[in-house]
Amino acid sequence: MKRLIGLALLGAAIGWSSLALSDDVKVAYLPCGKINDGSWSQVGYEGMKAVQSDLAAAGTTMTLDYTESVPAAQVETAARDYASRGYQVVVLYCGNFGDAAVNAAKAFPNTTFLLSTAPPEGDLPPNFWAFDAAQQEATFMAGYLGGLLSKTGTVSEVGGIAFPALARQMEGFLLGARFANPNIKTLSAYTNSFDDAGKAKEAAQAQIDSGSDVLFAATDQAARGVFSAAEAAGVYAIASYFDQSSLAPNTIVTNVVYDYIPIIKTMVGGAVQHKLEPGKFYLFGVEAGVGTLVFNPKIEIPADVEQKLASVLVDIKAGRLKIPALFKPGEAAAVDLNSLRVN
Amino acid sequence: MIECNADHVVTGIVMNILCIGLAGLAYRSFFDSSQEIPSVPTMRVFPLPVLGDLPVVGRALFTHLPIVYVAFLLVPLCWFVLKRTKWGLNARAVGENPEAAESASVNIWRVRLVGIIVGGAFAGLGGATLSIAQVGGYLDDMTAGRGFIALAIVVFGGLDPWRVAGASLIFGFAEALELRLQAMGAQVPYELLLGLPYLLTIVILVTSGGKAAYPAAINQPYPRRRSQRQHTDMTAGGIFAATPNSSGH
Repeated sequence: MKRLIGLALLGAAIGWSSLALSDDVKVAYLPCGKINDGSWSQVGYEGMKAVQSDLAAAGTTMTLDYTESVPAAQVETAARDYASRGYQVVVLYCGNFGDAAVNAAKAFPNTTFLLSTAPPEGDLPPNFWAFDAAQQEATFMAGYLGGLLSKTGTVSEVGGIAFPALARQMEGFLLGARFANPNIKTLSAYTNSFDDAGKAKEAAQAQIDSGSDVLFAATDQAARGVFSAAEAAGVYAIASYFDQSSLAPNTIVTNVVYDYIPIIKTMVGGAVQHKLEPGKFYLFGVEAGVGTLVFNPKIEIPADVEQKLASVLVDIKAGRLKIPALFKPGEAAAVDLNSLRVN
Repeated sequence: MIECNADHVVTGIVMNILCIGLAGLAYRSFFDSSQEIPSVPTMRVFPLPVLGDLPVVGRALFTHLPIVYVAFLLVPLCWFVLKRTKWGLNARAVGENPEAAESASVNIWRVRLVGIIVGGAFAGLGGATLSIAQVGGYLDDMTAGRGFIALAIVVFGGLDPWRVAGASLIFGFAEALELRLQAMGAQVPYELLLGLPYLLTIVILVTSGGKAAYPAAINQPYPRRRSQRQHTDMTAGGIFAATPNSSGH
């Protein structure tokens, strides 16, 4: 009798698991930082959750697992580990995970690997897709706003680690500030950390002491330090990735928000349903609705500034203004402003 | 841990990793990430009267968070306790020669425990300064390895409060210089500036050439009890006698 029950249980287990497998998809998420960082990695995670609930509505159960703060040197191992454990889609969500994604994709041809930045150079395997946001378009707008708002004629920015995807945002800001005021003085600092809020605060303080009155922060969670310094000095700050206005209501004038959720829905949803175009590098810009300035309602922007900003946005969307993606710190200073206008 | 005869370095690393995880876990269990990020008002900078108004140095030296002045006051206090009180003498004796200290009826474990608690409290004060006083909120990994830099400073300062304070100022100077030079738009590659504190450390360590004044008994767990100590000695002797070399003679 006992044996019979055991067999029945075993049978049920096999039946259940095969049933579950047929409609099941396992997705792994490997972000740069923590899923609660209030920034880059959290946006990605929320996108993954959105895909999960979309698929659930369509009758597919998506198992979502994640490993946070994986060092770039170890992420390939982590990605391979997920692939060998049967995960169908592995999302590498960090600017410097490119090589790891390509290498893992070559080793596991039956797993789809997605990378959240421009693909590395060289041969790309067919089970690999890169997607990216043209973030420089939105930070250009932020820089343009900063240039118009600055009373001292100096604006500045604090960034974390200068990998290409971040440098692109930082350089976009500098370019925008120059576009607003060709004689503006711009300052730029990297702290080499996305967590070290104390150092970000010191960097911001140093810039304020050098005259900056609009500070752009692209340091993920360490941006709290930038806001804190700006708040104490009574100058403006511009936040990145999330609407963080409530953290410093009299300081954060606007937030550069990249809505990655539609991007992730397109990419991860597409990967799960095998709908991605082979070999395509998916690029999403302001025109696609990715990258907007979310203003803090507590701070009033002068009407003429608002107007100028709106016309720049229209120009970017229409392709009359082309913002180059600059991947090296300092490149923006050498760009000829007239070359941005496309006729 | 003091009484368990565990290796000090290994225990230290274990505690470090454990506490990083525990802090993050506790934070996440208290504050749901989807809720508003909790923040507190930061501590205001407090310029010292008169001194804070001095040109050039006033802003740099005498305009700080109140906690910074407390840290400076702790230096002579620590020096006094360690070098001029009976407890300090006991503490140093326990580090240099625990057997001698014990024969003078010093409670070694209590002294070491108090030392760890006070040291831990100072480290905690540093962490609290970073989160509550400076940034106004908690972030995972926000100390960004400062504790290890502190450890290097302690070694570099030869475990003397005055020299440790001096070493901290040098490190602080290098980090401030890195950020100030970037803010001044200095035409230096930013990578070089980022490496400045580390470069300076190497230069100082190489040129100062002093040997670290470690206590003689550092990283030597002290046996648990008097009775057990004899037992340990006997086993140690026993193992020694059983090695092929000594049995061959």
